[in-house]
Amino acid sequence: MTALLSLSGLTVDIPVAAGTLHALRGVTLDVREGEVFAIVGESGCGKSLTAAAILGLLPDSATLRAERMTWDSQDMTRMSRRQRMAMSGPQISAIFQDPLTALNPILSVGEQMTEGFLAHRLGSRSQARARAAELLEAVGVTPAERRMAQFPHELSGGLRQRVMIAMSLMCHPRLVVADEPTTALDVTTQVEILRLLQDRQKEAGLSLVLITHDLGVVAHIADRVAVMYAGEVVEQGSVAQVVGSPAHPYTRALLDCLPDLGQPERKLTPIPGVVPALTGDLTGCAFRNRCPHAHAACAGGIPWHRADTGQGYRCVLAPTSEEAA
Amino acid sequence: MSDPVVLSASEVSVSFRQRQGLFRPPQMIPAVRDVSFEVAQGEVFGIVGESGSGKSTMAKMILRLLRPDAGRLTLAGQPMATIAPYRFARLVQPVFQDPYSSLNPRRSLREIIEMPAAVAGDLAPAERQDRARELFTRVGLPMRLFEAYPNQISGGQRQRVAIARALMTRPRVLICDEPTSALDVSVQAQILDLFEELRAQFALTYVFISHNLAVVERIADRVGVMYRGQMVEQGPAQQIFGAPSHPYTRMLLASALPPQPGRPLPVINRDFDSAPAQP
Ligand SMILES: Nc1ncnc2c1ncn2[C@@H]1O[C@H](COP(=O)(O)OP(=O)(O)OP(=O)(O)O)[C@@H](O)[C@H]1O
Ligand SMILES: Nc1ncnc2c1ncn2[C@@H]1O[C@H](COP(=O)(O)OP(=O)(O)OP(=O)(O)O)[C@@H](O)[C@H]1O
Ligand code: SF4
Ligand SMILES: [Mg+2]
Ligand SMILES: [Mg+2]
Repeated sequence: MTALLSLSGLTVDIPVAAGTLHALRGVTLDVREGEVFAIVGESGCGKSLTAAAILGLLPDSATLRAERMTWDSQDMTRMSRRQRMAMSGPQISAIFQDPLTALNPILSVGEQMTEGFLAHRLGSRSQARARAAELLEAVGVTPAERRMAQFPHELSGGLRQRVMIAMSLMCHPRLVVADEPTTALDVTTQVEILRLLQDRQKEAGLSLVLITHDLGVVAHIADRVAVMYAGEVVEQGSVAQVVGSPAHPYTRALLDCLPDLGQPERKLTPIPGVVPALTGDLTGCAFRNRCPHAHAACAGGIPWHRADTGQGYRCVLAPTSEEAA
Repeated sequence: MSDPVVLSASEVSVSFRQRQGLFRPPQMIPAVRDVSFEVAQGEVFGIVGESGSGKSTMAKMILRLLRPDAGRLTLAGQPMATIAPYRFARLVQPVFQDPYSSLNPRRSLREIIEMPAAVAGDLAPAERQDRARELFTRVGLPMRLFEAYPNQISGGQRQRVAIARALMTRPRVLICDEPTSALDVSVQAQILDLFEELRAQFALTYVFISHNLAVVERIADRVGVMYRGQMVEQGPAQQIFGAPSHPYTRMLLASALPPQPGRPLPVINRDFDSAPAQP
């Protein structure tokens, strides 16, 4: 299958008071045409920065390097700011966690939905309004005509997020990057929003990069997933592989500390310790101060194991070893 | 119930005034409507429900941050409104969702933890500091951070500080509003363990509000389910999670997404609700 977006060895450094923050350390992943690709991990592991790198929205102070960063086989690192701007909308669009900060408070829903469409000269004003109305109806923001006259603060959180989804689809993008699109919503609304995303993704055949810290969301909507820890991808593969039979000790630890509905007696195993600071020299496995299997070799170079099935993980433990099973 | 009731709400209601723009008169939006429940000494009463259903508003009324329009609230048998501030501080304390904004950034962790005891006014400064030290260790914080500031510690550590602060007056009831929602799952598991341990050690009663159903099922003895300002169902946790009777509760439980691959998204059916409100 063809990769629409391909990242290899993506590194992002940000200068901070304590020196240089190595926020992304060699992120490698491919997003294929038409798939839902999830990026999962705990707070601060680099999920949003990966999204920002894809969207061309890194902070000005950040330095990006990559062995490969391609969009439809074109080198993204060589694109000018203008070229990136031109991509935003018709090629790649974004949905953020908090639609209230992402939406413009002084523009009506109709105005902000049509803004990008008109700026990219994709049609006339009436065509823009017709497309906006059609998308709002499709995501359940009804009656669309009345909703288009409303302002963001007049809508509930769930409705705002639906507006964001409709807006992200205005220019027929090929990839939508959704950063925690349901984290602020209640579980019922979450399911409704995920279904909308999934329906639109299937109908329009677009690709979706879904960023979340919730393995339950990943299990239900993603095709493939990358697990991030301390700025690196530590495991990657199909959802059935990674969530169903995780190979990396960190992925397993994450699943072991999740409470399960219907199993209130199951003992949770918290992960001891904290994520290491990402400043200064970083060598060896970043999980080794918390890993139950850590040993001397974990301070050295860590190989990336790749199985025939496509599941891969970064750890010194061999796929066949007792502990990794 | 065998244990004495420590907290009760009887037909409690409150509305908020909402402006409708410059020229229209403000409208009263009911946030909590006729809510009644009792919490026994030593019990964990969980509250779940949809966003905007009035859970936090209920918590605010229990903490006297908001006055009900109608109904009665009692704490330790006494009408809530008649309890003197220093005594109130020794009966009930809050633990909120956001450990980032609920701690004063300009105060050291020691000062933050000691604060409620100053309000309750029952300890000499030296005793206050002793108790703060004891609690600091008890919630699993290293003493080297005792004089540190909130921006120098992690989110999980901040929530530990908030819990230590809440325990400073040796309260009987903790009102926990989404206490683990801002935390990573690995930290959430640690904090849940801590809640369990402290409950046993200090004979605490909790009101525990959370969106996370699995967390509530784990920690609560009894559960109330809120929907559109009303408590539509309440009962033992096993009953609510095992055999829910209200259609909203059933919909809520069906919406949970367990981390098991290979299942489709659940189908959400809001048909039971004849008047879906979409602001
Ligand atoms: N503009 C910035 N300046 C300095 N550091 C930053 C900046 N943005 C992010 N970081 C740091 O980079 C690291 C990765 O941040 P990122 O926002 O990608 O995490 P995340 O995985 O999205 O976490 P969360 O789940 O909390 O959203 C963190 O340590 C963060 O503090
Ligand atoms: N200060 C306020 N002024 C006006 N309306 C308010 C105020 N606080 C809450 N409300 C409204 O009261 C209702 C109940 O809100 P509340 O915060 O109690 O819900 P909740 O159940 O805690 O929701 P969540 O799960 O999202 O935290 C909502 O409709 C909310 O918009
Ligand atoms: S490399 Fe070592 S420390 Fe890192 S996950 Fe593997 S066993 Fe654990
Ligand atoms: Mg983020
Ligand atoms: Mg609330």
